[in-house]
Amino acid sequence: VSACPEDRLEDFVRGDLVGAEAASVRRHVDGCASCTGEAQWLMREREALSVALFTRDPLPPAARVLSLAAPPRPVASWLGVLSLALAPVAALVAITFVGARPIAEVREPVVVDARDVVPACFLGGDATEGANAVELAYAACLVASPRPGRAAADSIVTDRPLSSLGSEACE
Amino acid sequence: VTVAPWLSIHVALTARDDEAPACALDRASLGRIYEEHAPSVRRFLRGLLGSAAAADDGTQETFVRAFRKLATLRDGQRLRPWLLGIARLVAMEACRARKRLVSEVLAPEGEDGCTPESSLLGAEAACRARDALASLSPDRRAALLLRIDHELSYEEIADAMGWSTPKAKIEVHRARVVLRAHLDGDGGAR
Repeated sequence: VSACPEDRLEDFVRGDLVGAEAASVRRHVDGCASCTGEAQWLMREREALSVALFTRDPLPPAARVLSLAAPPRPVASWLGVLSLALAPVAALVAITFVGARPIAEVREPVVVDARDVVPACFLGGDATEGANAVELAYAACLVASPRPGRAAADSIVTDRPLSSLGSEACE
Repeated sequence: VTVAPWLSIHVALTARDDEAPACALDRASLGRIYEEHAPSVRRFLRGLLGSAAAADDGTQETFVRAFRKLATLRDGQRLRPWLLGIARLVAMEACRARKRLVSEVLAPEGEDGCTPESSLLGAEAACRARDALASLSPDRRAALLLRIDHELSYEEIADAMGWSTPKAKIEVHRARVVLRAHLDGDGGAR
């Protein structure tokens, strides 16, 4: 009998060996009581654990995992430039329409239709990027233009609450 | 009126660049990775944590972490051992968070428990295997599962566990001794 193929015995039991190598190990195992016993143990271990860990339960849904794993996409650099360009406009509008009002009044719940200030291409493109654009414009609008339409803005941005941004902007 | 709050929001949003997506794969590709490997990860966590609910939570957490760090994986061939390595860390954190004793981690639950009825149904070996797993240290338990149930090489186990290959072999061997003792009905004597 050849030397015991200790290193290959587990591969043999798993069925990972093929061809001449598998045949060689099989010949040895058939003629070696020690390896036969070890092979039987290896199979017994696998079967016991296989049954012990078996489950029929469905997996957690992939969509949930993916949504949790997806980090917020950064605002594109050109969006940042656009945001900065809009800032003076927002300030001008604010001074025109709200400037004379006390700060306390600005803190009142403000409603804005974000669609008035966000280019349609943002809203029709990537959802996350669009959401970021809407948030930026919406925050600007909160300090600039207390016009009706907050409900509409909330309906545009569905994956990120605007209420915290709104209150932060008004302060 | 000031635009400062508006600018601060802008800074906050752009600062998220620090957490830029680590993976360049699209959502469909990530979904395929999940579908392919999640059963294996959950099974591993089931073996480590015992509870099916904890295994589900751990599976979700494992993939959330993995997808955020996917770009750090240089060798795609190592994806499965890499995922299982993350799962092991998730399991360890879950155990610490719950302040569970090792002996409680794999306590039988519900219909998986080792009851006379389950023995009659031919699940005695499975019950003994669960008992054996519960009696092992978390690391040794993980090594045993990675070797026998997930068929990782000793090199892959060493990689996933942060061990040397010889240590991986020794730990698996010692865990096997315990498992076989339990399967032989001699678990309590060791």
